[in-house]
Formats: sequence, C-alpha cells, structure tokens
Amino acid sequence: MPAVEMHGVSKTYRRRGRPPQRALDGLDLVVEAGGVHGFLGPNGSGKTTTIRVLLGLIRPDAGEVRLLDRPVPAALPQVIGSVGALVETPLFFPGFSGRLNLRLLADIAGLPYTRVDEVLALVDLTDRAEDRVKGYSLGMKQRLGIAAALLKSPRLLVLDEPSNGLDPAGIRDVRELIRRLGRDGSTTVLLSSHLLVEIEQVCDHVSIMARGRRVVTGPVGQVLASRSSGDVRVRVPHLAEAAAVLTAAGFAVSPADGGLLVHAVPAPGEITRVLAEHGHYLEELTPVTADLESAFLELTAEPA
Amino acid sequence: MTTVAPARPTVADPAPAGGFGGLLRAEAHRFVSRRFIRVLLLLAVLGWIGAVLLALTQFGSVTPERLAEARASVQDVVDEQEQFRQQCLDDPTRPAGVDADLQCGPPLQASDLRVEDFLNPRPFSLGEFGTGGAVAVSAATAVLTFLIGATFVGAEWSTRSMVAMLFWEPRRGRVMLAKAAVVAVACVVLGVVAHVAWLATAGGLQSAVGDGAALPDGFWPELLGTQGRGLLLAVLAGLLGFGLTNLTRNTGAALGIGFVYFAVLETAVRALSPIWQPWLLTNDAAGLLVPGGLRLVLDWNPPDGADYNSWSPPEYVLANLQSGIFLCVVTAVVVAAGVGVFARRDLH
Repeated sequence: MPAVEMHGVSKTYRRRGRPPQRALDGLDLVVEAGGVHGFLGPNGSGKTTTIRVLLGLIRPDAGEVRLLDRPVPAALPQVIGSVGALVETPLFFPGFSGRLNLRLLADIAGLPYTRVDEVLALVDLTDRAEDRVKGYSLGMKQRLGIAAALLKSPRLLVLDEPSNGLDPAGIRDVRELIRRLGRDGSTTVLLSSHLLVEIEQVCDHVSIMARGRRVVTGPVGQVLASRSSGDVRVRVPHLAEAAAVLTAAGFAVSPADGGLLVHAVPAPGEITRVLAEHGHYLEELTPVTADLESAFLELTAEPA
Repeated sequence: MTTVAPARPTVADPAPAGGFGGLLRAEAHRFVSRRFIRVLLLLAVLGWIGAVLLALTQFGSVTPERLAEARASVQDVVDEQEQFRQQCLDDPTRPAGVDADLQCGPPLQASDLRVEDFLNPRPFSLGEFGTGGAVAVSAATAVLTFLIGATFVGAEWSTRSMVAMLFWEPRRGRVMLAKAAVVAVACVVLGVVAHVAWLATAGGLQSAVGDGAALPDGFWPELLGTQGRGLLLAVLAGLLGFGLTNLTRNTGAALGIGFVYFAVLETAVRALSPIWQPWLLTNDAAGLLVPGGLRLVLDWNPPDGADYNSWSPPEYVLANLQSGIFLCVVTAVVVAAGVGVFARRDLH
C-alpha cells in the first residue's frame, strides 16, 4: 500500500493584481510504504505546495490525493494521528519552553507526557527542555521540530528541509535518524531537501519535480543509471598507443585528466580484452556514473 | 543525539486525530501558560487594589461626633435659609398679592436635607453605589476580556502555530471551536471573579466606612441582574476580540480597528447622525448593563417652528434584551466570518 498517492493534482494560485501562478500541473506522485523517499526540485517547482496539499493546508483545484490509503482532505482526520510533519521553519510559541510546547501537542493527541521526554531525548534536547524556545538556536529549533514530528510515532513522516540550521554533527545525526526510521520498515519518510548529497546519502527512492510536475521517480540508483552516459575512464602507461588501439577497435576515445575517456561503452570488459591483446595493461578502469546533481540539473532545466 | 528508538504504533490502521477533549485541554493549558495573559490579570488585580485604596480615602465611617457635626451643618443651612427668607418677606418692594411661599420659597426644614450629604468624607452606601459599581466593573471586565480574546488567538497567528496545530487536528472548525470555547469559559471565570471581587469590596467598604442604612427594596435582584448581564458582556467582548483578530490574523490590526471604531466612528455617528445611536456598540453595551436600559436622546435640534416650551427631544430606550440580542448577533457574525474564512483559505 503506498503511503502517498497523488494523481493529476493541480493547483493555481490566484492573487488579486497578479497573474495566476500554476504551482502544480497535473502532478502524479506515488511514495511506497517504507524507506526514505527523497523529494527534489528547484525553488518554485511545487515541492512545498505538494506537501501542503498532502497535509490539508492547501486545497487542490483538481486531482486525487491519498495518504495511507485514505482520501485527502476528506479523510485526513482519520490518518493524521499517524502522520508527523516538519514543514519549513518549526512553528512554536517562543515564550514557552521546548517541553511545554511539546506537551501542548501531546495534549491534542492524548499522548502521555512520557512520550515528550522520549522524543526530547531522541533529539538530544533533554538538558534544554525547560528553556524558552526563543532562546534556542536555529538548529535547536529544528531539532525540536523533528521531535514534534516524531511525537506521534508516525507511520508517515514528512520532513521539509530538516537539516536547515544544523551544524555538521547535527546534520549527521538527523541523517542517521532518518535512515534508521526508514530502515525499521514501519515508517515511511518523505524527505524534501535541496541538498542533493543528503538525498543521495539517505534516500532509497527519489522523485524530482520541475514546473509543478514530477519529471522522474524511482530508486536513486536507477535514476542515476538512467542518466548515466556509459562512459568509462581508462588509465594505461602509454596513452597515445592505447588510444590508437581502442579507436581501431571501434571505440570513441578522447583524452581526459591524464587518462582516456571511452564513450558509450556497452561492456567495459571489452576494453580490457582489446588493450590486453595489444600488450597494454590497465592501471584504472572506472565507469563514469552520473551524480544526482547532474541528473537533477538535466531534468529540471528550463526548456529552451 | 541519543539512540533511543522511537516508539512504534501497535495498530495496523492509521491513527485518527485526537478527540475534542484533547484540543480543549491543550487550549486551556496554553491559555493559563501565556505570560501576557498573566500580566494582564496581574495588572487587573493591581488596578483593583488601587481602586479599593482610593475608595477608602473617599469614604469615611459614621461616628457620633461626625454625625453631630453634620446635623449642626444642616441646622446652619436651615437657619441661613430662614434668614434669607425673612429678608425676602420683609422687602418693601415685594409685589403685593403674590403668595409668600411662591415669592420667597417655603420654609426649609431640617428633615428636607439628608444628614449624610453633610458628612465629608461621606460614608459608603451599598444601596446607592452597589449597582453602579457593578456596571463599572462589567465595563472594565469587558475591556479586559476583549484584549484577552484578541491576544490569545493573535499569538497563534503571529507565531503561525495555528498552522502547526492543523498537523494534529486538520478539522479547522473544531480547532476554532476549541479556542473560542476556552476564551468564552475564561471570560466567564474572569467575570465571576471580578463581580465576586466587587461584592466583597462593596461589602468590605459598607462594613468599614458604610452608612449602615438598610438596603432599598429590590436591591439584590437589580444588582445580581446587572452582574449577570455583565458576565454576558464579558463573554461577548472576549469573543468579539477573538473573532476580529481571527479575521485580520493580527492582534495589532484588530486593536487598531477597535480604536478607530470606538474613537472615530462612534464619535462621528453621534455628531453627524445621532439617529443611528441605538446601533453603536458602546451604547448597546451600556443598554445591556444599565438596569432598565439606556435612555438615548436622538435629536437635540427642535424642528423649525416648534414651540420651545412644549417641545421635548425625541428619546429612545435601549432595553436590556434588545441590546443583548444586538451584541450577540454582531459577535456571532464576526466570529462566524473569522471561522468561515479560516476554514476555506489556503494556509501558507
């Protein structure tokens, strides 16, 4: 059962005195249950609108949305107890302590206050729990926001830029936490981030958005493979002779970084065989894989 | 961060939102935890203490010595008046054939004057000030509850925690209902405390510096009725502040609108179109509080050619019930508009 399903979802913002702005344009998105699903897109691509539609904050003009197999927004009250969310900046009462802020949320859901202390420990805020939130650093507020999102022990955790404001150790901890939640099998994490490396490190699946549409989705490895060129980097002692051998064997070859770049190679083992037959022995044979950044930039580029 | 594993739900079905009771509990918890509301209440208590101290300086107890002095003052006035009357009667230029009492006034008796009016400071009179004090306390409480209602929901909008709350209870009508219910209950509690404080204060003043006179007939029904209507006004004012702030999503804007309305619009209406006075909120608030309603003069200018001696300005009596219904309708419209807009608008 998918944790999130969106089909043909459209949303246009109409503001007085401004031209209509299409934020979502027939968006189709499926996030299967379990694991960590990355949600990528440039600014204005519709990521935040998508998350707000999922959480019932924005009503779409058209399309079908389902969360944990229930239609949204109609049945959102039936599932909201299993959905945790951190959207953009955490929203707390600055004059209240971190603990009191979480206790107010626990009151709403009927959760015991012991759960508050558990999640405070989880994000390492126990020592500062009695301090007022307005004295927290941005990173501490972000951790408190994550604690609030985890308070309900959610089956679906929606995190929008959770690393914002965190120091390197905090970023590492959050990523480890997300990975752990994704691995346990009972939590689905939908992670919206502009940090491509974060998506690449943490996510099992990724969906990339551009101009209000999903342009690609799938396992991260598969998305990268689909964008790979099939190029192979080769290093041998005698570059010029090896280049001649490979060219004669039908490969397209160009020099690159003290080695050779062999283009569109269907089977890299063929390079090894051809060079060895002519007495050239490899020092390096590396398939050139696309990184997520390249894929992202290629997929989200504005059409000419 | 530690490695405490998050607790897992034990049921397969997704969990629904918490019940309405949880929402109410959270709102009540937040209400009593808010520093600004505590400061407002502290200021109200300090104001009350100041008023009690001021009252103690304005009233004095009745002692036999002070009573004797007052009676002597009464007698002085009677004697002086009699002296003036005699001079008038002895005046040779006084027209003949005119009744002496009509010309120089009837003889003044000591019993025509109230001894307590000659006590300085005068004693406190529960019968005289009890109901008026309840009206004043009601008005002050209404101002306080308006501020509390406005700031309570205004803080939610300024911190945008209103949006965060929808991650926990997406039914916006329920969220607003819980907040409004807490504001209403808080206003009732505040109103009850204020009126009990007034009764205690008035009782204390009557014991300490009172006139010791028996209370007039119908005193208690009139006082308690006024206090009951004062409670209603406190709730309506709190909900009005709540609804107005909800519409503007900003406490400052709501208070600004309130100031412009009360200070500018109402003044302009009274000056330019007094016929509309029955529809002014402050008049209706007074009409609700004052026993028997508020008597308004709708036009001070006699029509052309009117006989000044026989013309009397047109009056309008704003009855308690009429004012109460009008204020209820206005409050309901403002609150419903705020809730309706909140329920429909996209939240960013």
